[in-house]
Amino acid sequence: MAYSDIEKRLTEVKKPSRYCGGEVNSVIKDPAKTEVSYAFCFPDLYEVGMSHIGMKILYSAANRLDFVRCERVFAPDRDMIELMRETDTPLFSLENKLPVASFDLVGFSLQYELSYTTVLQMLKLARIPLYARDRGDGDPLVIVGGPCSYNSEPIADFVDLVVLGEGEEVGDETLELIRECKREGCGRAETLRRFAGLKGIYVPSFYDVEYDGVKVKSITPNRPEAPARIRKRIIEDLDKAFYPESYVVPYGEIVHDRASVEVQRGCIRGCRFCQAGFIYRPFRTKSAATLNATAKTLCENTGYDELSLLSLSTSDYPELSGLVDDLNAWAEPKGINLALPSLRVDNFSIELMKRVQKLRKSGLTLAPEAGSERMRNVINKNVHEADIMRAVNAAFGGGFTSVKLYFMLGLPFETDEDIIAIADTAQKVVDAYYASEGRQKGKSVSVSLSVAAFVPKPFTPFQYVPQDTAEEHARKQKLLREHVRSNKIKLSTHDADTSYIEAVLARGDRRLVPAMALAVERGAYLEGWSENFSLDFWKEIFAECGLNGDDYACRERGTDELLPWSHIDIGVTDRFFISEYEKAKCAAASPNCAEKCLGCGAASLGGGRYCAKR
Amino acid sequence: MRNVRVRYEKTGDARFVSHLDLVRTFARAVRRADLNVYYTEGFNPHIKMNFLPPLSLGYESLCEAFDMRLIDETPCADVAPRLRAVLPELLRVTDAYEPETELTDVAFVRYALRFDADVNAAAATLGREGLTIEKKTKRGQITVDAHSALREAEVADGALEIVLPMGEASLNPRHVVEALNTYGGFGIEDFRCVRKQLYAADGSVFR
Repeated sequence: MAYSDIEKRLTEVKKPSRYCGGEVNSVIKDPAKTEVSYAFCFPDLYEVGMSHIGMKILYSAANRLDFVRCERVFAPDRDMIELMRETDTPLFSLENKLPVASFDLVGFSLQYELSYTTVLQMLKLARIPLYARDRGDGDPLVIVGGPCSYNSEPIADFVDLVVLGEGEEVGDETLELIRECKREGCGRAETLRRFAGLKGIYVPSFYDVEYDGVKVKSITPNRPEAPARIRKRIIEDLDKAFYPESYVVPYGEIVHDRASVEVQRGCIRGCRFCQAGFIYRPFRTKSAATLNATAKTLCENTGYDELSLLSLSTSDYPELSGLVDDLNAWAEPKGINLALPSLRVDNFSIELMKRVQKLRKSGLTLAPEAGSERMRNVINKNVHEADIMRAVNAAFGGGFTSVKLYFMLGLPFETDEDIIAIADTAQKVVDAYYASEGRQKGKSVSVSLSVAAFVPKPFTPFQYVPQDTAEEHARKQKLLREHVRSNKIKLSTHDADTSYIEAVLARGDRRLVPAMALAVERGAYLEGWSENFSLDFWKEIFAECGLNGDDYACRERGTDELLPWSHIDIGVTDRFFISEYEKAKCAAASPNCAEKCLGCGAASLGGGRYCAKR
Repeated sequence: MRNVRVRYEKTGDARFVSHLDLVRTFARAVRRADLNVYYTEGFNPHIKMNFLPPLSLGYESLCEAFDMRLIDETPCADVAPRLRAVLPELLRVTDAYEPETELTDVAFVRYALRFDADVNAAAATLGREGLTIEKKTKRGQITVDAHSALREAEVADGALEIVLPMGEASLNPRHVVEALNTYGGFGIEDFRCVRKQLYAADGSVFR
């Protein structure tokens, strides 16, 4: 019934250290001396969750408050679930090994649509009533946040509260409000009522949704406290935002095992398929001085020998060159490597690569996303073939022999010529290698061509477009494969089955709630891991619930249609999305934020570096 | 350049940390403590550290050790407090000194075993002549005469304390528990094990 029973047999499971906490810099507080308890859950395995920077920030932020005890919880692997079942042990936290159901607040980070079933399975493992309406005064409040929370309608009935936007400030306010409600002895109903008044908090049960056929007819608040539209929260000045000076250093190896600093939020680019490019607007940067100081402290406190600069597009950081010099000045003598993921093709600088990758030479990764110039204009990628060739030529000249290229298949307004252009681009990279003067003689080139299926996402200009049907996608994959002729090109096509369910859930509405519940009852869990995912399983679930996945994934929405997320306000306006959609139709690119402010609406949130005053 | 031997305890939940993870954890601790130590040369430099043979997952220890090399004049006496300050209590550094021995000089190890069975009877069983211990190795099963392998088997503080060889003919306490179950019918399902002391070949405490 408790951790002590599990502990005796913990060596029976794989990687037992991921269930016992106690890592360097973990924060273990006395339950008797803290007023508010918060179980911070990540719906994936320890190795994945511990790699997530948002969790590191918010864990430290919550625990810096004296009255709060924030403890971590990760999805147990199947062997651990079996051990928990055998010992009759409910899901417990890492720090004090307390049942998750005993916490005041239980939070989940929603990074990925396919993690929804894991969230629900974890609630079941914690023995918390699955439906919010079945929870009583003694049960925890279940809160979700992260990118998928902007349209969390498919799980609306299971959560009490949704955080919209950046968690640093609203997190503090949430914990303070819980303390207030506990002190005043508020019941669940009153607590939720007060939360509806907190900016950036969405209480799904306070809204009624009506449908008309496959469309949403209306979304109406059913309480006076609930605003008609809920606006996301952001941090205007990132330099003043809380950033941890240390974070938990795991014993075992995790996915991203390094110190990382977030250089900026948002992205100036506005690629039309990219949800992150819109939901994190406006574009805000941290000062190089703050970043340098934070990074140094972080490395000293964690002992990591790798430091990563995180953002959606690191090469758009205005002071990047100076920052890299400042960082290298102390990092290099200590043997600390700099990692710069998310560099762009267009302002790719081999000189920068040389400066940061002195010790380890990895392959070059480029994401042109689309094969033809026309298609890249449709998606507003603003990368030209000359940029790609310049980047690979520089890399080959510098001794690289492998290049990874990422593309998407099934983008809106795609023609067969655009698909063939993907294969042609890869071939040109191979040809460039053999034409390169500086290439390593006698060594062969390897171009790995990774092609994913496009998933239309809410809060993008492509939120209206249909996803390709399975048949059409298969035809396109075949067409592409026929045009890849060099054996130096390794084509890998991502699983279109998962992309289909992602598309259903991403633009889903509350009518999917029973399907989620049924999927969880039938054991859906950790579906982000391909071995745990089955499309047939979902098709059966949809059929039993009288739903058709195609109504969500493959249906074109009118630009005048009420969307399931129309009551959520991310700052960027529908008018802007529609104008970008119209431009996509005629393959017209848009300038980026640094070039010209297009008035997307995010300026009203404040703090944007390039937002024009209007 | 001087060798320094770091002695530490591995207790509580730290017993679930694998040897490989432990090595990584200490390397990061050395960096946090900002100790100036020798790194291996080459493509992928890492701190040069030598550890005792791995402790089985699930066992605790009060007498672990690893060696590394200091490349500046930092007094050995400073090493322990600096490492202690950057490690969790469950991996407590107890001492650090310039070693006069090699880690391979450890010949015997004292373990304390706790389980739900009569420890006195267990000690008596192990004291009997003719008891054999079976050990599976890569080369097949080896049968060891318990009486000659076990240096001591006694009861102390409610635990069964045994002294087993380390090195070439090393034995794991698990083998002893299996022998107790096979020949003594003790039916021990799970047990807690603590490594308590290291000895040199002459029986003196290893340092």
